[in-house]
Amino acid sequence: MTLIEVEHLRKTFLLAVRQTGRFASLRGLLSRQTRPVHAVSDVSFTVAAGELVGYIGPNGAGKSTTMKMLTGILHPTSGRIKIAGRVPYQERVEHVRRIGVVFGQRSQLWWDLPTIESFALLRHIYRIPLARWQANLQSFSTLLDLEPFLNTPVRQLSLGQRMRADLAAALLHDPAILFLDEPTIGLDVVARERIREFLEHINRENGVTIMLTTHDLADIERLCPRVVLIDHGGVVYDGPLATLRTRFGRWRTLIVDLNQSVDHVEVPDAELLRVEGTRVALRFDRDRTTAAALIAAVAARYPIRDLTVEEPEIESIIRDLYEQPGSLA
Amino acid sequence: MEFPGSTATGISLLSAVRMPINLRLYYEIAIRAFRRASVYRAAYVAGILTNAFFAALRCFVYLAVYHAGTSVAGFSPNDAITYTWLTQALISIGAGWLAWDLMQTIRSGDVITDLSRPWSFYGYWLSRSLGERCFNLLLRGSVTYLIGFLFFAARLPHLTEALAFVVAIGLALLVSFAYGFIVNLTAFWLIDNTGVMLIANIVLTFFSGFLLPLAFFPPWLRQVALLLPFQAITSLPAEIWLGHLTGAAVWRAFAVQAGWALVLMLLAIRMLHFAMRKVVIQGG
Repeated sequence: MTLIEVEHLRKTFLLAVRQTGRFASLRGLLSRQTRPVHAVSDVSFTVAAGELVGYIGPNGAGKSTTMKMLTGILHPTSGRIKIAGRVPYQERVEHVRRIGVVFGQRSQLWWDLPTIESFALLRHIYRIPLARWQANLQSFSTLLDLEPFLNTPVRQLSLGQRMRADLAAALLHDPAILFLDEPTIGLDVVARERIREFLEHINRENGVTIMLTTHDLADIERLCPRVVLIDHGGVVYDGPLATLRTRFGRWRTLIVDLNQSVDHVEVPDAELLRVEGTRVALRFDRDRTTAAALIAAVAARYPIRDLTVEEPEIESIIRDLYEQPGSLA
Repeated sequence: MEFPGSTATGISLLSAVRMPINLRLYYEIAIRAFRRASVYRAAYVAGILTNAFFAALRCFVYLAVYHAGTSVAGFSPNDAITYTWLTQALISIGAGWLAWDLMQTIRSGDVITDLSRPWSFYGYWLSRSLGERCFNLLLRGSVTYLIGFLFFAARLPHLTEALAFVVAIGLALLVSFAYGFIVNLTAFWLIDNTGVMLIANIVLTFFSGFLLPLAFFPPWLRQVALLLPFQAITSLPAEIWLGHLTGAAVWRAFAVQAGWALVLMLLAIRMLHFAMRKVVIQGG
């Protein structure tokens, strides 16, 4: 069942242009020059119920803008969004009753009050039946280990604790979809892993559809069978993470340990990355040559003691994209 | 459920304002705001001491200026002292000071979370404000006034005056909240609206009669003050407490307050509508 449908979504902001020269700020008050900024230019995708989708892309690619349109905060300039049969920005209130939202850098908890107070208020905000609320709280407390700090004021929580509390807060009303914007930002390895385990659990066991943006590709590798990669306001890839690797990761690295140290290695169809004593790293294009051919070529010139072939890391593929936006388009 | 507010563009007054009212929710919000106000004990004590200090200071000025037994603009020395302690006791419920918390959520962007809740955004902030101000009135204002009563013989009203005062304070809270809401909301348009807030505070302090009873104003300035909403926040409740308003005058005062409460609330909601339009169209 399709839960989220997005078609040719577009969002253009009018940004005020700062005037320069004499009395610039005064003139700025009187006449406003604006220029259009296409935050999202053409994004289409669908998400089926129960999916866990990573929505990734470099800074400024349009991730947050898309998220804001999906959660009903922003009106698209054009295009269509339908989530569970509703248009988010038109039926905002009914829509937000059925979604959970966590912005990693914001908190929806009452800063000065014990954590449990915010949970209790959420029961009234979403009119959650008491038994249901208790059951959910019990379950999340166990999964996220909230018990030790339920009565601690939010301002005294560590970042990891606060994040866990925010996740629970977003899920108490049994939303069908959970939107997460950078849920692991600023957390240490242990805290990240705990959050990933939790997300995996509620996706699998509770059937919550999850869409998350992140800059931590380990989140994606660990959690998301599917990624939607956007760049320059448009979708450049939509599919399994593994395919992203084969489609865009043409480059392999051959590392050979030679019997003696060398200054330079010259082999056809390969580019020398570095030489560290007896260890030599060569980069080659999978489409132009094979590892076997390259190894043979090296072995023919230099005696080889050991070798490994490195697959491209997802990280490096994405990094290439982030460093050269538009390079995959 | 159909929302009359959600038109094709979905931004007309926003369903935010036209939700079926879930009174229990607003009560729960107010309760939490009340508790939140009680968290910081040091701030609580410091607040009372500061208020009492300024009240005493202002009283000494009056006592020095007044000649024994005289009356100025209908204010006896005891009236002046009572007025001073009362306004100082009411300071934390908006008599001379605007809350900045809404503005801070707008600047930090946290307002987005509050805007995407199935509730009335105005109702949410009103409940928060009422909860917090109830705390300040009951546990801060009353203690401040008690000091004035014990050391400066500030007046205690009769029962009917006290009852009328309670009604007037309720209405004053609505007026001062709506005014504060409007001023805070300017943060949606101005990157830094602290200047606007400071000016708004000065206007409030002056024209509400907090600094000086309106009766002491020169006639023309007094006329100006009576045309503005601010008298509903401090001056009218205080005059009821003093017993200067009786009978029909009390009802007139209520009418003025209720009128301003309504006008400012409609204005505030209208402005919220424009702010929402700005957020949803321009992204804040």
